[in-house]
Amino acid sequence: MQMANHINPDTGHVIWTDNWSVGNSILDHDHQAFFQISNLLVNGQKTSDNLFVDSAIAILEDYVDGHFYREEKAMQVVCYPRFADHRLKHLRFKSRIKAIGEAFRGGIPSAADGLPELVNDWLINHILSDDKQYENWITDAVVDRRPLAILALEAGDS
Amino acid sequence: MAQKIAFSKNNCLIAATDELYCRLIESALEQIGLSEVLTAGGIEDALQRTSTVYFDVIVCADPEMERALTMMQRIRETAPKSPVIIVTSRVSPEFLAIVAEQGAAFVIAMPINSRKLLKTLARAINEPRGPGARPAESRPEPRGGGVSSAATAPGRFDPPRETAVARPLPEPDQTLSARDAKLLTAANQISDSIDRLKQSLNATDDAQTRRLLRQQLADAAQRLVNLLALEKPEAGGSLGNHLAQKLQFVREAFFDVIAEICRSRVEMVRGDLEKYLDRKEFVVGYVDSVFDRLASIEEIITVMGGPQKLGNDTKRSLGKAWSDAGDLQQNEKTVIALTDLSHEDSPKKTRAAPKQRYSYEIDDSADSQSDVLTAIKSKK
Repeated sequence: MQMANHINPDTGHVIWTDNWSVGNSILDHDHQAFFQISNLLVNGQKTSDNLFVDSAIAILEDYVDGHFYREEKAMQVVCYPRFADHRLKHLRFKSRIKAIGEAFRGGIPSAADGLPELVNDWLINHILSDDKQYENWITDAVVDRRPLAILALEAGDS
Repeated sequence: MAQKIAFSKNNCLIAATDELYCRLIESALEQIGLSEVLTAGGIEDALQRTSTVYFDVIVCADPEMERALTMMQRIRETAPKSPVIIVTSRVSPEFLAIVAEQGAAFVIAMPINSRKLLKTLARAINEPRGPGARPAESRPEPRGGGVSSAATAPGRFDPPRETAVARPLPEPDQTLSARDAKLLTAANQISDSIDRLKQSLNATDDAQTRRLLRQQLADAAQRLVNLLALEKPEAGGSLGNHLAQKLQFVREAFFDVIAEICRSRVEMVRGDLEKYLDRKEFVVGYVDSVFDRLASIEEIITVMGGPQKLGNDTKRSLGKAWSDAGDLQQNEKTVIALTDLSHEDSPKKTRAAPKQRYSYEIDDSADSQSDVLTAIKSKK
């Protein structure tokens, strides 16, 4: 229901709403980046440019790595009580994205057909059900402010 | 509005006629933390922007290589000093040679990702390349309004050529025979191709292209070997005549390239080993792959004629890598033995690992000023 109200009917793009804010501008910026990539994927899939779609999926994977790493670091600093459960959800989503990426690169372009919807549905649900719960725990001081791409590199090394 | 993270003071212009590509790269670059990412929807737009603002890096993106190259050539008219990164669908060694000559700093083949962009961007800004390239810290003041005239026309891509400084070319001998003249021409061609391949290897991280380039390097090496077989040194092995000197020069140039390949492989192995040793964990069987990698590096060293051809830093790193691999192997054996005890299985036999072939004793005499500094620092 949340999704339907925030999709542009002409473009199929997600429109950000402040209701999705988790109270931290850096984390909100990360979430917006996810929607930005999924919107680009919607456009890219209308062309038949597999290199473009491959790139968008790769950048999405980087965003997933970097953002989850940022969130989990912050949760660990404040000893967030729901950290384990939250992290499990991250890992499951990450595995799904990775599997889709591997299938796409393995020669099954249709594997990415529902990817924008998956990302949007999952993220909105995750923000409202899970991320909102850490709103009173995580302050600006505990959030790593470095750019997403740098955190993605670091997450890959750890 | 969510806060944009600006992590560096550098700015970037993306020049792309394809709007989707432009927005994709813009999205990725924004997550790298540049202070400003501007876009230009075509050549004219790019020319207008670059005539008034200096950009620390310019990305020319197009699925078609030729269009990306044309865009870069035009942008060079108004931005001769900015490093240029070309993003395109496919990269061939021939294309790399052309774009290098035309002044591109780096080339990225699609598909891209944030990490590849980040690494290439950092290199483009920090490692001056291309015609008139300047180091990041000497960035010129931003220009005000008005159109600036092009400072210089696009020139040759001319990276530092160490061999040209360390080993000056011998003077041509006017009395060469026809045969020797042909061999000399062939030697010059091989020398030029080795230089171009070296430039191209440095210009791209695309794995497939690098594989092709290494294959071409191997072909150039084979041609050199054939040429050396034709040139018979004088009795006693002295290299007295001009042609022999030239061949020696070419051989040294080739060895420089493979020494550099060797050095970068050693650093990669060291980096991987440090990660495992720092984490105090390992993957069973991983150390075997490390030994295989070190053994393949030593095969390169054998081709070069032995570790005396390596710099002290590389020798030191390689010796340390063997030692660290030995430590990791010992850890692995201990854990496997403990596992076997707990499961009452028969002891697992690990395959015999390749043995270290050379000793990497450091020559105390400094090869260079950097060796002197390293020695001083290590004694503190």
